[in-house]
Amino acid sequence: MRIILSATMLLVMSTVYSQKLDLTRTIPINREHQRLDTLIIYLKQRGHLRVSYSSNPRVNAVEITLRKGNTKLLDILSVICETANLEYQIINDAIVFKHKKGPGPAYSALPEKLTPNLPGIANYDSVKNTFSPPLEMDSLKLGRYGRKLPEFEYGKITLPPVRRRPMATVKSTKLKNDIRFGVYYSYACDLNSFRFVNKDPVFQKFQSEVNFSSTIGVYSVISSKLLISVGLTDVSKDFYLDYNYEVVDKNDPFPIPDKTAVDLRYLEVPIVVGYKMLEAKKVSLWFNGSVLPSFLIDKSERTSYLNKDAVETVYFLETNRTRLFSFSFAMPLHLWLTRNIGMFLEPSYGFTFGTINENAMRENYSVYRLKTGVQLRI
Amino acid sequence: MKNITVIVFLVLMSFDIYCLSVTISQTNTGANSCSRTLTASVTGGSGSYTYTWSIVSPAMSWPTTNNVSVVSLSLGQNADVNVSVHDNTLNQTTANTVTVYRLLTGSFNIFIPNLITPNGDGFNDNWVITDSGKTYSPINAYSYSLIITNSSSVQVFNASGTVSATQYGIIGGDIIWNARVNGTGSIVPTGTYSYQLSLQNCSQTTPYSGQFSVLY
Repeated sequence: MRIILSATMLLVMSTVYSQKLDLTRTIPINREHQRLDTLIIYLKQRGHLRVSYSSNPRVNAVEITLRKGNTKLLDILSVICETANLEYQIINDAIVFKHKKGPGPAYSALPEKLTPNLPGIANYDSVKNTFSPPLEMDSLKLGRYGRKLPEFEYGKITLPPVRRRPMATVKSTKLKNDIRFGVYYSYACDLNSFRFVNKDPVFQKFQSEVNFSSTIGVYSVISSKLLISVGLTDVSKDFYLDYNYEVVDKNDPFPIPDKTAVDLRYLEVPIVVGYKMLEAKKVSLWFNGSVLPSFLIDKSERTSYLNKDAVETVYFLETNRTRLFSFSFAMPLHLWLTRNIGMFLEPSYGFTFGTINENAMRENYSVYRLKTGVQLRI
Repeated sequence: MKNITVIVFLVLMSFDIYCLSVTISQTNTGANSCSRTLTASVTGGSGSYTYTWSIVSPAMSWPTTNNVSVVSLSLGQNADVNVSVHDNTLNQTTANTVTVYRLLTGSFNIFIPNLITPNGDGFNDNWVITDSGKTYSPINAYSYSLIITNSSSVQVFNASGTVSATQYGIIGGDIIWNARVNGTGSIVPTGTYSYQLSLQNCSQTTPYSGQFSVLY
């Protein structure tokens, strides 16, 4: 009999100590009443916990009541499970919640014969009645994942129910819950700082007004601080030559050029790595670094005259670059409007190697871009 | 009868001697002169006079020395100048008025084209400096000098001029280049040309420089 008890004890202890998550740690609770989904997000963000939870609208809305102040994680999980009829399991540092099936929990928040000391739980009385029999729980007696170690006393021992770790694939669980994907669309104003060549005569000037770009892409949040994204950007890089001719008589039959406008469209492929610097509630500030290879997809050139109709010309098009390479830095500010829909505002600075047009520009230029867009979490 | 004739003669003589009058002569009236000189000449008086100069239109105070027979004026606008002469001996007064034309002062008001097409079609064939309204009005200068060089800094045209006969100074269109080398040679090739122009009036000398294109 002692052998069986000893073996059981060893099994329990090995199960307990195989968990890495410290359920005795305390987490500050700042709201007494909150929805389950809000609380889980809070635990992820504030407690830096990995929580896997299968969202369910009905259960999401369950109001969890906790007492304000520092509360043991174990206590919090207990209240969640009791209130929302859930059960949890610790898998590789992650807390995996499941919906209870049937009357008896397969994996209860607490061992049936263990009752924690619940100083931080507001509805302790109602909670403790669900545990039978109540036991004092001393944190020093807790295992690494919070389960009370059995009183090891020959002939008098109360065993907690031992759970064997389910055969769920831990790795796939982590991927499913930690890596989030989304899509985004943005529209941007580009202030290209082209380095134009000086014209002779000097009154002829190259100029560029504000260009625009639109992007559609996908992103993946690979951790709480990092994301990567890739997209496709349709960006215009238009410029024009203003001849600035001043004449006595514009009725000259000889054509007097007014402007030559060059319209260029590139397809940019922004490959972005983002790092979350700050986060407050629904707002977060990121720092993004990008590389942007670009490919010319459309071009046109048109010259207008002071005294005749405009015509298509090709002077600048013949020296146009078809491929560009840029890098940029950005500080986007994200705001989540709902759980899955957000918007962002992103100022950025980019630098492009080479020149767009050898007849009009010197090498290398920079672009200041102000982008705004929406993102959808999927 | 002879006595009557003598009396009439003597009366007429005395009338002529004591008929006081003044005339104003104006010198330095050219557009390139920067002061007008007025001289009051009195006849029929005793020789002892008091001169009172004034500007009657437009109303303004007398800008210089008064009670002299010769004055110098530098006016920025046309004015009617009056002189009143009082014969201190005969206790008689006479007056006269003359129009004094303004001097050419102040900033210039010009348009310089930066494109000519000397193809003989009648439009923009000449590089011509006009007033800013391109109406061939005065440009407020009385002299100019002009040098035109090609893109290799070789001089292709040189001209200068000073107006003296007109009171209005240089008119838009007076400064002109017909796109020919030195004004008489062949038409210059297309390209970018530079100009150095200097305009002068009584208050300033202003240089202008720039480029223009020759196309055809």
